[in-house]
Amino acid sequence: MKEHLTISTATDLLRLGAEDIIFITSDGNYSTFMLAYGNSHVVTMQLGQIEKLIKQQLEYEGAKYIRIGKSLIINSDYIQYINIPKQQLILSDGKMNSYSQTASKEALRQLKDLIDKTIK
Amino acid sequence: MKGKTDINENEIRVIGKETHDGDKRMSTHTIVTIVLLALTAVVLLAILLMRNRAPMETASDLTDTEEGLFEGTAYDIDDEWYENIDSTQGSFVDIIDTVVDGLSLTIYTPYNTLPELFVGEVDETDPSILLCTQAADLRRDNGKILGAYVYRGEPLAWELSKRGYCAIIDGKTTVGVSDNSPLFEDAIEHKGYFFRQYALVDNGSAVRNNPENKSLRRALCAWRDRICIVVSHDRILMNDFSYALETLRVRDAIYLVGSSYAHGWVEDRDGKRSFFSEHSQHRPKNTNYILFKKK
Repeated sequence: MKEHLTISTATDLLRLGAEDIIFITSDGNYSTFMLAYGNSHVVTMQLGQIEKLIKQQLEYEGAKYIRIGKSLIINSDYIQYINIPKQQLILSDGKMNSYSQTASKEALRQLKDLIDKTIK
Repeated sequence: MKGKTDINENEIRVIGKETHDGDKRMSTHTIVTIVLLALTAVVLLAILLMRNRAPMETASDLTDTEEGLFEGTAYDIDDEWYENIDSTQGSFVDIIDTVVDGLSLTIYTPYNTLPELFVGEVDETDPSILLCTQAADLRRDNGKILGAYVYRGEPLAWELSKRGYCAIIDGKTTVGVSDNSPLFEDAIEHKGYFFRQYALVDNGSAVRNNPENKSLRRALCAWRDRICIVVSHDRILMNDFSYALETLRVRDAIYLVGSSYAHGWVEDRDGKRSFFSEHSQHRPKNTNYILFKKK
């Protein structure tokens, strides 16, 4: 059965298919979910709280999600390109949307190592 | 002490359960934690013992506050010049050329003006605009504004891409450096403005940044009790620019879009307009500016 991440506040409820989330970025108390097919949702929640929800609600599906530094969580299924010297990480839904994110060289090196391990 | 959920920019972590032997890994983590706690306790104990043995060095024992002959001293713009400005004479921009650390700079200080951000095609014929320069950068991939941005209380972008920020709330401009500024929310609440850019000076200290190209540089600075814009005359390294601002004793400074294509102008006290750069044929629709208007 398809797993969902549900974010429920006093006034609204957001339910997202775990496999539809490409990445989540944050600025302070606001976090933006970028979804496959190009739509996005903003929630008033810090990235640490979202990380907690992913851990609680998405058991093994949650292993696809990787926290990179303070302001980014990615779904590793959507990683298309990593360039460590340029500090560039491109996530793509394989159709029409691709998103370029920056991260530290060290974080990208670790991410690349992690992905490399899954190939073998 | 670093909490369990803390993470720095050089770290990554897988969030969910990677394998079904998670419990086994948990026990390894517990052992590591216990070992770390034990080590911390030993180090703390050692520090306490050392403190009890060695007499404390008092401030009067230290002599390294004296300045050496060849040590660099902070550059100072003539105080007389600064204090002699009559800030009661309506809206104007004071312009001063200077050389700091061998770099030619111009400092534009607006007085009695209304600061605001603007997104889109700015009206070059608007007589109320005394100082105008591009503010936040745009993303290469989709042309959207890079980093958190609030425009007249409406958030247009959320991500944290740069640590420097500028907030304009109720006519007051604040420049600072922080990962997480409550002024973002305040700007939304008070129909204000907020944008992010590279941090150049944080609390009086230059901040090193990655860009290694030479370019015409601009900065928005909190300097003495004023907000000013500093512009380099030549193409220089961003880090050299930061150190020059530090020498200038700027308290906090963030970068503004530079290069010879970045749009902007200033009107001097005689009403003469000077453009900062060549006119660009095409400006993306999200090109945005910080303006200082006549009151």
